[in-house]
Amino acid sequence: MPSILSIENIKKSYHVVQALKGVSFEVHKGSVFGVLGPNGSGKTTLLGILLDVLKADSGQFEWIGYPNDFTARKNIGSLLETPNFYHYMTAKDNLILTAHIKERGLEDVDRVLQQVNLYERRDSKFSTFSLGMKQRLAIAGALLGRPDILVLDEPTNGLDPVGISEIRNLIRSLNQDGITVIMASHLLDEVEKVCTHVAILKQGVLLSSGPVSHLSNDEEWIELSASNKQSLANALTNNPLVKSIRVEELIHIVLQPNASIEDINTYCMQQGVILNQIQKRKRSLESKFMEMTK
Amino acid sequence: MKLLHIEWLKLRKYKTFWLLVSLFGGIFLLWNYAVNNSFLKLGSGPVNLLSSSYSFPAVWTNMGYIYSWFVLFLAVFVIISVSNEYTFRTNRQHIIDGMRRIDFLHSKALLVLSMAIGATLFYALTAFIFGLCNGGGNPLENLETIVYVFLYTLNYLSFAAFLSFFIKRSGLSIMLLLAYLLFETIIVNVVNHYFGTFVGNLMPLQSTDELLPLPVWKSIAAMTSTVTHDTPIYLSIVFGIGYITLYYFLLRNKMLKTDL
Repeated sequence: MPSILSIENIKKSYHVVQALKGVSFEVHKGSVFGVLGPNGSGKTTLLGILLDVLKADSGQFEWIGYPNDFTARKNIGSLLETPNFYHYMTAKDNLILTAHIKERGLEDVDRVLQQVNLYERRDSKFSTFSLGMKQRLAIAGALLGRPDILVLDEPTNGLDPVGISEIRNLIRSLNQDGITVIMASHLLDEVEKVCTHVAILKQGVLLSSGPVSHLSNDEEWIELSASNKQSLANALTNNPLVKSIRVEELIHIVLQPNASIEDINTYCMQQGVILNQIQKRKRSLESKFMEMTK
Repeated sequence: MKLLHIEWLKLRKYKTFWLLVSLFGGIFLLWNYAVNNSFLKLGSGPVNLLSSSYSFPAVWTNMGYIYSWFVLFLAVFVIISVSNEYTFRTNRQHIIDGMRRIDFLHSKALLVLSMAIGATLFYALTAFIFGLCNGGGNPLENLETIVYVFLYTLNYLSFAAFLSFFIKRSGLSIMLLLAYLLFETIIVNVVNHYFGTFVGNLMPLQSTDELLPLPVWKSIAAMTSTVTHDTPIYLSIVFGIGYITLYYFLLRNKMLKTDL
């Protein structure tokens, strides 16, 4: 897939605090790209720079395929930090204003209001909305004009569990329609469930970037147990199928590259050890993230 | 026009806008009606120091001076309009949605310019109607006051916008504007007294205040032997335009280089 965004050595300081320390990565077209990091890692600063509300001290970025950055932004649906609308205007009037700025047709306003379940409240003033409704209106604003790219900062903030699930499904379905999604989140679960690619930030430093499957899947192990734990441990120790073994409450083994879970099961049966549990485990993004950011 | 249309979408259902514009227009009309009919007066018999005349050509300068007080309503609205963008963080949202940073400044500049044009037209129409009702001399005499009213309004509203782009909060900006009006009056008189000339009259708001003086001021000063420092008209105009240009370039620099 070609790149849609290229970021090169971006640095940004707020007085003495260096929020971004030379961040570089690329986002491929059609991906759901998560920017993951704990609070204060520089996620929102990075998205702010990409959307021109913050100025980088140095470095550069390019929205590839657009003549200039403001044309790119008109084709990007964005939700950065809080929903920003005129409190005295209705939901519909706010979106009409957004449509004018984005140079999109007004006929799309009703569609996006329906998409986020706010059509019935279209004539209510923004000031009367709950936090979740405000967030949904902001998502409607981001969806106006069917953008090529979505940039979302903590998109499920303030939503109830049903709302969170709806938004995650919406992101997946939009991505299936070809929209590239770039989303910042501190929720590992969210990134793992929704994203295809991830960049991990910590205190302004890019720790890792790549497909979620590569980051979380690079280490697998098998958990086993049998009624006779010692016999099982003996059978697996110094076994040519097993790379390493760790005996705890369960027995954890890492297989040799050419060995499979079926091979182990067959071998144990041949040795007269009946397994009552065998399960493949992979290193989760969470454990990878915790290890990288500690 | 596109930027102006976007500003209009923000205003068309904004009650505060319509209230302040109505106060500006309504009280201006009522005030002049009351003075013209001597309901409001300072003096006895036919003498009214609040009004030199509502006949042509004096109506232009007389109503121009009265108008100069009412621009405060419009200045307050300009402050609210700019501060709202910071309060609601819509200044950031506009840029996120694809507006160029400079266009955001231009949209507010166009709002100020449109309000100045609208208010000037309103003044001109009102003064013309009052003049027609009262008759008198040549209506084309003193017609340059319309240009002065426009420049005065543009300078005043630009100053209000400039202030609120930096202060970002409407209440504080309005208080600072009022405080500055008092402060500038003091400074103008101290500087004029110290230098014995009109140099103090070239301060940001006083520069265009000089274009719309109280018509009977010269007579009052002569009667009371008050020392006056008249400013050449061309200097008031040059400084007025200079200040408006300065506000624009300072704000342009701020908009293009700072975080929003």
